[in-house]
Amino acid sequence: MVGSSLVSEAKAALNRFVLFRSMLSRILAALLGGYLFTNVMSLLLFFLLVDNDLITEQTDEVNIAAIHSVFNSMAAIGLSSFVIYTIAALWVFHTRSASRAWAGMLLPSIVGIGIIYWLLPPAIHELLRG
Amino acid sequence: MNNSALKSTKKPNSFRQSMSSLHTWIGLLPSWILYFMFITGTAGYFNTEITQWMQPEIPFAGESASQSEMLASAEQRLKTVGAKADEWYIGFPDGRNQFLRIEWEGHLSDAEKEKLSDEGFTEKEIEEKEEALEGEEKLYPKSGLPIEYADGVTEARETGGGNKLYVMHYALYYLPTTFARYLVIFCTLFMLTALVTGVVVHKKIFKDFFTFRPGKKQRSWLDSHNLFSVLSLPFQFMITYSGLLFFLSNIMPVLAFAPIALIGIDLNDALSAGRVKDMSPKNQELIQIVSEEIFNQSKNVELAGTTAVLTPLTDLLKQMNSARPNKSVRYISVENVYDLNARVEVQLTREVGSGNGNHYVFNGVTGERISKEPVIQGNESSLNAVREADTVMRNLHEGRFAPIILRWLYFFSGLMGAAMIATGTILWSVKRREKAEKKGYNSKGLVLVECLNVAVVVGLPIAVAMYFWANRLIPASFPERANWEVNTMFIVWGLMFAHAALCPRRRVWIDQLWLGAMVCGLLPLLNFFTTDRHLGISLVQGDRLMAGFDLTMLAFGVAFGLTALSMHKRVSGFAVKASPPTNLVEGALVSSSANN
Repeated sequence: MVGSSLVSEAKAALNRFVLFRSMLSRILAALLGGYLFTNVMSLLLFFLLVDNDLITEQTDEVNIAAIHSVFNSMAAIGLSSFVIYTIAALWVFHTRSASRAWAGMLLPSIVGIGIIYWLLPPAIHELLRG
Repeated sequence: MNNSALKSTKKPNSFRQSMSSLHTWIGLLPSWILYFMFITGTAGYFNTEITQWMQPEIPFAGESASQSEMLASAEQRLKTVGAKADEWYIGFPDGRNQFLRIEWEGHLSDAEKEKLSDEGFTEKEIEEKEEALEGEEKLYPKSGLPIEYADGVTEARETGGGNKLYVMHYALYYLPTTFARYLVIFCTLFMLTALVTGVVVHKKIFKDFFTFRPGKKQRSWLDSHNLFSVLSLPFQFMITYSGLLFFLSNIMPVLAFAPIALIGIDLNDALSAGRVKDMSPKNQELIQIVSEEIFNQSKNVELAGTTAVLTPLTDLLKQMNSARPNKSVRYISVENVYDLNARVEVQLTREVGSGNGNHYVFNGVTGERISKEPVIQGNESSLNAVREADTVMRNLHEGRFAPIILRWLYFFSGLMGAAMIATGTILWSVKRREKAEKKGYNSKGLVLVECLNVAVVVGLPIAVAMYFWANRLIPASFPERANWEVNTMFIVWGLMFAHAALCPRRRVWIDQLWLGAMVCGLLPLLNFFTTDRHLGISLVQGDRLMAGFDLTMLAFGVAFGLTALSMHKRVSGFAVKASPPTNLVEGALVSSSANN
């Protein structure tokens, strides 16, 4: 009698722990994973919107058209970033499991970082290599 | 039993279900801070009006005059008081500011400073001499004379005014700036998520909107939560989303700084230098171009060093009026007043967009318009519209362009946001209270939420009203009186928390509601005893600012009183019903025990 109630209590505690851990994991996935995801996706959007020809032209003169293009695209990603973050957070709390939530945030981010690196103008590549 | 709890994390539950619990918790956690932000921010839409009520020494402006008449008298006044100044500012009265305002500022040239230091003046004395060259005045619009303060005082009392309330809604109070900023950002992000999940949860959003079941506890709270939310949903989305835009560089610095590297700015230099002055010449040049091209700021003009006569400003106004007949001028500023390079800037009234065409620059000597070179548009595309959208969102948040009726609409929408938050948290506690009563146990979390709900929902408005009481009761000469006005507000708020924590649950709501009715409703009476700007005079004079404030507070007092009254009835009705058995089961138990 006593033994079985102890076992069931332990089981309940374990269940609570598993539930708590998966909840905590989701919260972190939404806050941190979602944050990374938003930044990467917004930067990706930036490079798709900005006029690449204007930026890769490396002239000594100040290129006013390029400045406009950069600031316009910046406004666009600024406006969309919070929408991306919110949708990401909702998805994290809806998806089947916490590990799926993490995967959904991290994998696209890694791919996105790769594409951004590929899209960067050559001058920046040189800068990053030191 | 326990397995089902475990399964629920693995089994795909419906989207609406998962969003419902997210809405519950993400809404509850930041709700009290959000309520504070909504109340202070809503008051902020009337910040200048509140400040004017809080400085009753500043008289009623009386009749207005035409802009050209006002400009002529302002110019005349500046020629006497600002004779040694090189910068002038003339602000015209509008719906919010009742006076014609002039400001002037003078600078000592390097040669003059050197001469003074040779004469043996210390650096501090020279600074004081330079400060003596600047000043500001409020003028009566009709007569053009400087205002006379009431009761023979020479300046209005020191006060934080409405602006202090306005700043609180994003900087909070007493807290370190950075901490407060990130707390506000966090709560706002939660708010945005709560709004989206809230829409998802309510599938029958319009049906819900027309449903109201009064007197049914939980359902009534849910219905009123829906009512406030649906009614003001567009406003709530706009205000939350645009509020976040202001903090973009704090939330996602990568998005704000990384792209800048592409226009050639050396980020390492820019970030390490901090101030523009200390940056590399190339960065300085780029920042100058960006501020002119993107932010439409005009270039500073150097002094020519040759004296010249300023063209009559009234002529420029005539020129403006014929060019833009439907617009009125907000302010006129003059740089290098007595110099050959004098320049006059005319700013028209605000618009919801960027208002690029609202800013006119004239040569101050010839009176010719200096037209800006047309912007070279590399991509005259829809992306320009995006930048405009960004500006519109920010302007919508601040609502500075809003004329009086729209301003009231902003005010009511803000109050509805506060009501939405309040009904949401009350709904949370009422639901759990019903369950707890049935189970017969009290959870600490529930008691805490209930306590916070009263002390924030009713206690905060009481504290804000006490801020206004403090303004009238703290003597004008009291040291640091502006700070003590705010301290009073927070001390009273602290007392409300103590009251909510210590007194019996049923009574705290009614007690605080009655207190709210008193402090708001009696404020016009306090104004009557402490100033001669009370309703009896302001209504007769047509002083809309003073009368508007008093009447609004009176309305709040009545609203609190009516709520207290209805709650009183409900509770006393409850007490009558509670004396016989409350339900059938209980009744059966009572009768069976009586039989035994």
